[in-house]
Amino acid sequence: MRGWIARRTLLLVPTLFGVITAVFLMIHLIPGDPVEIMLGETAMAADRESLRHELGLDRPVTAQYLSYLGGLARGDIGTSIHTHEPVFGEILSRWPATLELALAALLFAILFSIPLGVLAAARKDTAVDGASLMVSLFGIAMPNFWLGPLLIIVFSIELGWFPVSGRGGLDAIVLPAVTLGTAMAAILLRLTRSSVLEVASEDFIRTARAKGLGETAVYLKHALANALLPVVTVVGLQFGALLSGAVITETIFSWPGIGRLMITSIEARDYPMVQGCVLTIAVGYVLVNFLTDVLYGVLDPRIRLNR
Amino acid sequence: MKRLNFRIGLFLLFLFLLLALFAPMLAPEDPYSQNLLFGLAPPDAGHLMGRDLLGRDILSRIVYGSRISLLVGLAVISVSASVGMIIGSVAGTIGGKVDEFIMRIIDIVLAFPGILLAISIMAVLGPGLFNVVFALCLTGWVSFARITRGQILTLREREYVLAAHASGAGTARLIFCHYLPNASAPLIIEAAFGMAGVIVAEAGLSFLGLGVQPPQPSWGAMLNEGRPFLLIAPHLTTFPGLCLMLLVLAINLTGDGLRDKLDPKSAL
Repeated sequence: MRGWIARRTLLLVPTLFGVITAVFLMIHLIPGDPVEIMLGETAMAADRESLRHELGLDRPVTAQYLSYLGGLARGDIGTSIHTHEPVFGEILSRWPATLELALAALLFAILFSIPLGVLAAARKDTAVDGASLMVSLFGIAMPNFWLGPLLIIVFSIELGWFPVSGRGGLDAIVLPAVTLGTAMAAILLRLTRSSVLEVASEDFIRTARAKGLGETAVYLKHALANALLPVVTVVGLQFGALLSGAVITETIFSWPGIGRLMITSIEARDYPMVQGCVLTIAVGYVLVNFLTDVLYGVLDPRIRLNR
Repeated sequence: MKRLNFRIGLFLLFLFLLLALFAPMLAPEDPYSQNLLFGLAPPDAGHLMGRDLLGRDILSRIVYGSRISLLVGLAVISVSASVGMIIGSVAGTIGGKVDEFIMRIIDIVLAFPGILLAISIMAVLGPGLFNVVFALCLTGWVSFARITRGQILTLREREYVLAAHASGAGTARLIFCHYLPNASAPLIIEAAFGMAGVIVAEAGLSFLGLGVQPPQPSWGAMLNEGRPFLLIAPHLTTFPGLCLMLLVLAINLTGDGLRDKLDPKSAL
């Protein structure tokens, strides 16, 4: 078990190294002059040179890369062009808001989809099943940048139940969490339904029924517990995806997280900050996927024995 | 039920394709024509979806917007699928260190969640329709490459492939005459679902102000333009959002149907 986890951890190193390199190269390999994009075409040549020097872009790429890696090792991922503050500190202060939002969205998705998925499986080919299929189809198809404004119109403007934007208090997180979590809920709903249906045809379920257990107990005690394994994996993978979905949701609700910081930094053309945001979101995503992988191996010994 | 959903999806998709193809004939007005006197006017008999801040007809802009969504979707999927299939074929056929190298690159691209990579590329490239297509292609080829490689790894042990190889077929012949035709089912399914993802990604980038720029009528940009007027003119966001959702729903239903037909095992 420990050996398997150690091997998975070792495999993580080249991926993280690749992500760091890709984020560094993004600014160098993509066509166009980042300094010109930051300052605009009409900027004075002296200003351009000054910014180029400030960002270290006048040095050879290999020297820039080595100094970038050295900085990372010291927890220094650059300085904001606008605030002249370390990027790392600003990013660190924004992560709790994003994690709070992602966790709330995850909670919403789980609480909504798993009971409904089990119910849809237990009532296969009935109106409940049909309704759950419709909910999942529309949930997947509905872009969160439309769902968010719709929820604001109905629940904030018309009904006045929740604030339109901002962070603070439980009521402020409801609409952003629903906006961010809906697509995930729709995916989990379909997955839970199909997973429970698959397990429901197994022999041990027939045995449970033969023992005289009621349908509720059969589904909740036997079917659900065994059907949750693929759901756990998708929850982990989708949690990582929530981090990128947060970019749009945070913009809609002015939620002061990492996604909002990234978009405002792009608008302000603050490249070191953008680079820092991309790097930390991508590293966070890789780590969440890694933990999901490990958890899956812990829950299902077949996974680690097969590798 | 599944067959009905497939038909509904195909029908809706056909409608959107007609809308995009015949936009100049179907749009009631010029999508760029402004009339500031009627800015934010609600829907009425003359303008079924109302007007935006600059008095432009929303229905006309939605009709033309379908062109952008479908154009970006088709362009990105065509390029991504072509590039992905070539790279996946090279990895699967040659194997060894080439395969290892390609797989590591794929792992790195997949390490960026959702549209984060596209957002960051757009941040460096700057907004614009061509840049959107470029950014989405840079991230889109990966899934096609993985599927192609995986399919080739299973196909290359088949007897008819071994026979073709024994009879002197070269690598290119094996790829184009044996591997790709037999790997087409999962690739077609991926293309269908991938197209829905690309259309949402384009709209998302435009919504964030990083994609298609005004005055071009992208649905995502229209949603963004309507956001400050949610209280007084909700029709600005309602109609583009609804169309985007219906188009994505149509593609997903069609994709589900294709999967049921082409890959019955996964449909179970």
